[in-house]
Amino acid sequence: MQAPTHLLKKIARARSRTERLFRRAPLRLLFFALLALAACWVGLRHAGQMNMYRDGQVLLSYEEAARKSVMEFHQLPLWNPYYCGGMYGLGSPQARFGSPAFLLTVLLGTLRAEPVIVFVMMIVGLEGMFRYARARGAGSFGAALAAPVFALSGNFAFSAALGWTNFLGFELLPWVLLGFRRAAQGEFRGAVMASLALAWIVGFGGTYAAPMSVILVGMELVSTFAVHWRQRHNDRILMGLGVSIAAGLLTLGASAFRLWPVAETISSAPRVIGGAPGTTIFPTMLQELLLPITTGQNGDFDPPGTYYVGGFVIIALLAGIVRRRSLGLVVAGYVCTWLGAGYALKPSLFAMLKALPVYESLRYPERFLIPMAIFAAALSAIGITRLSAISRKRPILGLSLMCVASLAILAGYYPLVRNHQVAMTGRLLVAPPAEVKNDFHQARGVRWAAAYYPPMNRGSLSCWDAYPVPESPLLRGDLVDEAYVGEPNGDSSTIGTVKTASWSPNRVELDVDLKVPARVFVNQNAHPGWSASAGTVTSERGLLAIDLPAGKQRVVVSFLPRSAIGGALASVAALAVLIVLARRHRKTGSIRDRRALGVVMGASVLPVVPVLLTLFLWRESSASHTELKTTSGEDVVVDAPPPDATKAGVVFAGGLELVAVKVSTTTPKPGSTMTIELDWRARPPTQKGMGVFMHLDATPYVPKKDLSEDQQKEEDKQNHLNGDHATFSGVIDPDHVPPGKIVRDIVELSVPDDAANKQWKVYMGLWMLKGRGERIKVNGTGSMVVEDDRVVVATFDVK
Amino acid sequence: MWGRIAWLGFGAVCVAALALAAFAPKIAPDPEADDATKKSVYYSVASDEPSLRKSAAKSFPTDPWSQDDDFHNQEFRRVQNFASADKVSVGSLLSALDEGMRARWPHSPISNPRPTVPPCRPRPIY
Repeated sequence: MQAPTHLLKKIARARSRTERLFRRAPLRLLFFALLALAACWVGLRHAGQMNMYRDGQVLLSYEEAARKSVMEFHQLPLWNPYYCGGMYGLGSPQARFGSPAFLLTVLLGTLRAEPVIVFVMMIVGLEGMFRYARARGAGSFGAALAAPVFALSGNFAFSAALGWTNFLGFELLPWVLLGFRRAAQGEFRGAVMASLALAWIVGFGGTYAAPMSVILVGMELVSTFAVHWRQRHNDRILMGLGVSIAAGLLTLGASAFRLWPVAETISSAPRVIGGAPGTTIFPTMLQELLLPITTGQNGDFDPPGTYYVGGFVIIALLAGIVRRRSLGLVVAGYVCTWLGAGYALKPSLFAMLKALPVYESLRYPERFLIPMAIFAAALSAIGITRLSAISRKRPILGLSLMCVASLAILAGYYPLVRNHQVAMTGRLLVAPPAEVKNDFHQARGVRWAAAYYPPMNRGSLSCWDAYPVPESPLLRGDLVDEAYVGEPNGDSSTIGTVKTASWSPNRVELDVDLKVPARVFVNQNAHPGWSASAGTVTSERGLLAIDLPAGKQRVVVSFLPRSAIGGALASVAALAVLIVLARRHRKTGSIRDRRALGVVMGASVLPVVPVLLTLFLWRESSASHTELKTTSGEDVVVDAPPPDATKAGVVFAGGLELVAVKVSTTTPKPGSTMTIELDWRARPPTQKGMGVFMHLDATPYVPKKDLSEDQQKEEDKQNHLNGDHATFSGVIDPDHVPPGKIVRDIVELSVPDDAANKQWKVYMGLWMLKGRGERIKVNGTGSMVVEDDRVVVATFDVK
Repeated sequence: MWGRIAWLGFGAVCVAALALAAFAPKIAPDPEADDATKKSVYYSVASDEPSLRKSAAKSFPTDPWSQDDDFHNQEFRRVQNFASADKVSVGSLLSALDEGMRARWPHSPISNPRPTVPPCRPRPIY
């Protein structure tokens, strides 16, 4: 018995020593940095090369546009002229330059900085996870051991490989939770931590981390206050509630520099998400969580490993779950898993969440598996600590289980790190584009290669983002000068001349010589933030234009939106409050009396002052610059259908009536374009979340015979076209049809070459686009033929 | 003392990461295309625009933005193929497409390259 007792003592001593070592920041950080270095090794070794993944191209172009603004033009990156014909850079939800990580981009350049940002964020995530697990009752050893389970989890591997660097913002979530947990315990430093971490998340971009963090914070607060309530600490509840509210207000204030512009952008151009994308629990979710990444050929990863946590934590996790004090973490982890299961688990919590404002714009439920890893890591950390505690009473059992559980987690580091390396190796990397000193021009461009354009000093009009970027159809990629009067590239000698004298992202100087008052056009998108030193700035179908008087003058057109100024002032005010109050409470840490609480709560409202002042003193037109016109310039909202339209009178159960239908031709030629116009009227109450489905089915004049199975499939494909769409004429959501008006939904149909010698029937109806896709019933058929809740709106022959 | 050593170690790892990124070897860029290559690529891509657009329209018969996006995807693949075949940089050929459109370089008379794009309307369902 001598030897096992001796061994047990040695193990117990080693555990105590490790516990002490990990409590000390330097050694712990060294451990974390080494892990992060191993995970980021492949990325760092290929720094400076360009990722060709399509989304990565767009996000790279955003970061490079911001870097150019700062480094080459010495301007704040407010307007990004290099994409979509110009967009509000600070208001672009996916841009990541509004965070401290942008300093690395400035220092190293966009491409070389990217893997360093991933490395830094990973260390931040590891340390945050460690501290959060400690705050939830784990010992230093367990917390340090389990931190990589979250901070190196699969999503960070594949996000970095796709160029979705802003997803690394999730690494800050443990800091947000820890901050609010401490705030709920009445500690002001918790408010500081929460505000800064959430402001960083918001500044780092992305549309998931910030809204998700609100749900997680809610669960954290409920769990903390439940403990206060159980212990009947009424005063603590009051202090905690007060500091938590102050933390919330200061978080909003600190994030306002970016939150206001982004909210303005999203409200003027809402993201439309359709269908019910998501995962299945068996096998997809389990594959995502438990199997390592095996493929990564230039993006578009298969599911396995994309949310990898691994099965190595199972012993520690089970030991952590059975502890009574872990209930809050178990519930939070379960809620995240339930949300992550999307529509596969009924009732669908994700579907319920989507009914709320802001959350309606979330597309992929499985992204809730990212924060789920926080709770898995925290429970594993607690499990290790619990096994260690058991060892005091039952040394053999406790220490054996602790050793096995710890070694299993350690063994799990290999697939965690390897995932990152495999994912990064799967990227398609190319040499970065050469910097060219050119005058700026808009090019028609290619969004699939968006990152090539800023270095050429060109904008790409071809564009994609997750939301419908307000973009003028009048933008051109062939202009000799980016400003003009009269017709683009035309002879304007009777009106006058315009020449770009100097150009920078936020400021364009024009030399104008007009013979008569005229409208001068700048080949960029309009935005309420543009102003001019002379004349009146306006929007010509979304194109930036200035109405100027006759005469010779230099006109300075500059971009400085109200939301950028107001948001920045609010953030500065919030930071000032955080600094002053943090200094005031640095000795005690906690808010202990009602007077101090009153001061904290009063001060936390201060960031609202600059917001109100800006709103009252800085007049700006509404940011909504999506004009209600078709791309060809026709009005979409009218009083009555066109006189030559056929009356329909079809009433749908969702509160919309198809009033009339108009087809431009019934004998279109192959390769030509025709239009099908559907005129709609609202019959409130209108059901939310509907879209239009349109099926075009053909019957050949002479059916082909004796086709093989493959040929028949191809034939069926040629005889069916799909024209489903989410908005009427691309500008109005069916949720927002103005009462008493007719909304024209003009669908432009490109008739395929192989559509000839067939008769085509066009069926249309309404369906629940935002949800499970069920068809909306037809209550009144009017004068139309209706089959299976589909209206036959046109029949035409292609000859 | 161990604390100091650990801090130094942490700093050293961070510096190593920074140095790895700062001095990571570059991929040798392909040379810029010469004028003749640029014009020939522009001629080819611009002349093929109608057929590429027809193919895109077949995939998305009622969605102008998706048609245009699909067209640009095909256009970019062609540029990549030309760059790979001629061993020139992709950037210089993308620049050629822009330059050619602005300077009205020659292309097939049946083609009429569009200088505009439909506004960005991402599909609600992928």
